[in-house]
Amino acid sequence: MGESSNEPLRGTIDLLVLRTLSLAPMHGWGITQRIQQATDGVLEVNQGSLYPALQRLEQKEWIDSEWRVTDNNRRAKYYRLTPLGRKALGAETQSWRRLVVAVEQLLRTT
Amino acid sequence: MRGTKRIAMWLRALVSRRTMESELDEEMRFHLDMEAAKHTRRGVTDDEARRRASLAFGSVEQHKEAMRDGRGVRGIERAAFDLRFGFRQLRKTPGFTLAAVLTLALGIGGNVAVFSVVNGVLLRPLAFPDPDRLVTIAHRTRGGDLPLTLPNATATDVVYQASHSFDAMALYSSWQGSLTGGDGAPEWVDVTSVTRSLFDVLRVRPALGRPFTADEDRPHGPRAVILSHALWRQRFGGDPSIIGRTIAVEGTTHEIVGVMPAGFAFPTPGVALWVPMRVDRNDLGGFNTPGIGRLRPGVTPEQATRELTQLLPGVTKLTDFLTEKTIRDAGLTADVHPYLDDVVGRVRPVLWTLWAMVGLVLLIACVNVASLLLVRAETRRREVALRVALGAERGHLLAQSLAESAMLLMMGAGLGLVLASGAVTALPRLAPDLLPRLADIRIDAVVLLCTTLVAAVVAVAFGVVPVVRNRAVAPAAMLRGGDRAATIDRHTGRLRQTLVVAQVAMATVLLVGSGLVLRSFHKLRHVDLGFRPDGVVTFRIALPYSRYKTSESVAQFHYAMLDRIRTMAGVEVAGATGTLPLSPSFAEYDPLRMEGVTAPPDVLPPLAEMRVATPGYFEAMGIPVVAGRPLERSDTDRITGAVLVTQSIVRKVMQGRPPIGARVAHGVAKVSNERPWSDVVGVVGDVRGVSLDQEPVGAVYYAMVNRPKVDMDWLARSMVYAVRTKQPPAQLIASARRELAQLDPTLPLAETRTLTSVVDTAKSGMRFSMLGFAVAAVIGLFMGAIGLYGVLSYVTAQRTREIGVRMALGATPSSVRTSILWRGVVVSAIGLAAGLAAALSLRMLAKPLLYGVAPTDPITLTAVSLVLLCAGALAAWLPARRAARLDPVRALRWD
Repeated sequence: MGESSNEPLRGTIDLLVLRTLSLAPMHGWGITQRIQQATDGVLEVNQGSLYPALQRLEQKEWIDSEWRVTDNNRRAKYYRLTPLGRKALGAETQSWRRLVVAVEQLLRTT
Repeated sequence: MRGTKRIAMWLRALVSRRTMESELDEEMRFHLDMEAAKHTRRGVTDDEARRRASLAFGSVEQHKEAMRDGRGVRGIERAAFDLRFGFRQLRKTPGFTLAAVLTLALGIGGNVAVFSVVNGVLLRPLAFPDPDRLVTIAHRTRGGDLPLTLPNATATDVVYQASHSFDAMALYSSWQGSLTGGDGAPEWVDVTSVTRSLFDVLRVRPALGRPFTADEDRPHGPRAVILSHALWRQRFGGDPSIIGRTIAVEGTTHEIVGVMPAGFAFPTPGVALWVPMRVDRNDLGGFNTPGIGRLRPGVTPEQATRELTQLLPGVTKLTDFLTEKTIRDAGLTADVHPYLDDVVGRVRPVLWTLWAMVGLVLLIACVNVASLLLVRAETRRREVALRVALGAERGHLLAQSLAESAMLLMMGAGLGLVLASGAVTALPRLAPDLLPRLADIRIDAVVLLCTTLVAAVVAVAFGVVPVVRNRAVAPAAMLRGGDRAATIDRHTGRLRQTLVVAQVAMATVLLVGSGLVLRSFHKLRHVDLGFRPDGVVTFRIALPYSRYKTSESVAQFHYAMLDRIRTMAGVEVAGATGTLPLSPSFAEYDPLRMEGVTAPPDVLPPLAEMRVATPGYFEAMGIPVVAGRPLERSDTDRITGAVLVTQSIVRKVMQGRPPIGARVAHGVAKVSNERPWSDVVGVVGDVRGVSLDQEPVGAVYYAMVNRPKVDMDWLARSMVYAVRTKQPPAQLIASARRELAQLDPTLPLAETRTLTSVVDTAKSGMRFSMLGFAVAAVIGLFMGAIGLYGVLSYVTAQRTREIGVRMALGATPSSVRTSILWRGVVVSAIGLAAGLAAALSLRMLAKPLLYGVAPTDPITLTAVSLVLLCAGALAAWLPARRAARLDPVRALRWD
């Protein structure tokens, strides 16, 4: 792994994680799988950036975590969006859209 | 994120580090397992699945590290790790650790203890505003023998008022008197008469009420009194409406005009009452009135002394016994010096020297620990080389070394503080009279700050030394060659030997100091007191004016009491006098005149103590009557008073004239209160009156009198009884108390002590310095010996191969032993020589502490040299013996 083409842009990982968690609480591995599925395998999140991102988001209190038992009876750390995180997701989405529009605009004018 | 939340997180990261680590572990494992399971589902083998998962995941450790960094407490964690590492290192070598910690604890503890005393007694200013402007106003003569507080009432209250050096000047004089009135029983209290300007000098106002008015400070003015806070609380229950009520002081009614604030202690703690001095300008001439002044800002005591000395001749216009020629001949000058000097003057040299001593001990301790660390650094060279080879950063090695020193120091300083707090509580008990500002002694922030600073400097120095020593280590060469070099390198050996020489030198200084003090103490113990203290019990009975108005009633009471005491069981003989020898008291010194001897008009008459004594006093005290007869009861009825004089009076005042039958009088002639002549009926031995180390001044003992003779009467009002007895003191005092209750139930039996304890108290100052010095010297010597032992052991160990070679080549065990012993003796001898030189150059410092011993006392110096050389030889003996027992074959293989 580690193909740079499959890796999400730097700084967008927070957005991806928040969006994924907005659907349902999930553990770290689940998040990577969900992102992969949702983007048809275009985006693969590197574990090396996922866990520090989760830690960062937790420190910002955008998400919180608890240990739960999974369907096949294993303990796993589940992350969940906080109300603060939901607000932040809105803001992050907005700014992402602005960015996309801006980049599009730039590409078209060239 | 909010700050508090972040701090909470940090704390959690630090406190529950273990939990967080295991959670991190579990989360990573879960991820890997799930990834592997995914691959398994796609049909690959378990092993292959696991391999792919790992591959996809990347380095688990790396992720973990990133997460750990994310917690934001890396620096603290690393420091904690280094400290733990240091602690483990120290635990591995308990001998070294114990030696270093104990050494540091003794060094630091001693310093903290002595510094708390120095800080409390010498450095912390007096409890008055701008205390450094407070000065004592006194006088001295050229000889400087008795710093005369000359007619201070005259000078300070009248002549010196023209001075421009002072904001205010005041006089004060302490005495004891009876207090009656209010709710309590009659009390015997400390009273101080003050001029009303005292409150301006000290800049302290009463907490309640007002200072004295000008009217109250005039002769025959209204009687006023100010209470101490403690007396107000105890006797009057802190009643705020106390102002305006009256009490009786010495039987005279006084109006209470004020209450001083709590903690106001002038001139001594324990003063209960202040009354106006009411200086009579028509009748000046008290010789014992201390003066205190507040200098104008910017004026030095020296300037003030010069100005007052210029004004001094003005005194001659007011007195008829001082002329300008007298002043010139006696070299009489004003003497203005900081008031603090008077409060702490006696202990200052002791404390500074003691501080220097414990400073030396700390230095020795530091050198010792540095030396121990050096040894350690050298034995660790291989370990360091290995770690450098494995990629350890030098900076981190330094940090670890510092952490180790810091651990040592924390333990040493902690233990030192424990020792110090023990010592600080014990010190004042060792020397109750020596330390004048007892209440101010404690381990406070300043003391702790100073200790911390010293400790920090020491820690850095210690931590850096080993790293610097090992900086030159080239890993490859070191790992290859190991410590197999046949001889130690010259530089290291020399550095360590220099350290040891310095230690021995410092120990020498300590030993010389304590040896001299020890000899002084020995001399003082055997000083001729002039009386025999053992088997004498003493107590005070004071008679208030209100009940004993006449001299006759006073004399009657004392004789009646003595009669009762003499009939008590086990009493051999009993007598009474005004004050005991060697006890801080208000001894009365005045010039002594002799009938028929007209002193030249310009010569100051010699001073003599003025005392009252009853028959039996001299026998009870064991003071010999060397000529004439002792006092008798009939002397009280004589028209002309009868007195005994001491031998030194005969020598100094009578100058060869036959003493018996001569007539003497205290005080100056031709003044309104001129005292009448008294007949000398006998001569007694001198006693050490003021302190053990001061020659007796000479005294005149007056018999009690039936008619009031000027101001003699008050001397007999408060008397100390001396009872020579075989009874246990407690039992005797109990029976004396019963007798007193029968004679007058309102009187207390005060100041009950044995004469031996009075003498002991007088020795306490010398005992205090002796103990301090001895402890410092023993610790210093011990540390010096340990240091020497350590160095020689190490050198011997390092030279094992060399010694092996020598022995293989035919050196005998005894020659090996001699060579190492010799080395120890030479090193100690060099240190000793340096130490003796230092001690001699510091001898002037020791002078004020010594009694009857020259700072160059040959006995002390010889003894110290012997002790040191023996200690040196002893320290060298063990390593020498070890070397002599080496088996050459094993030594050559030694690694």
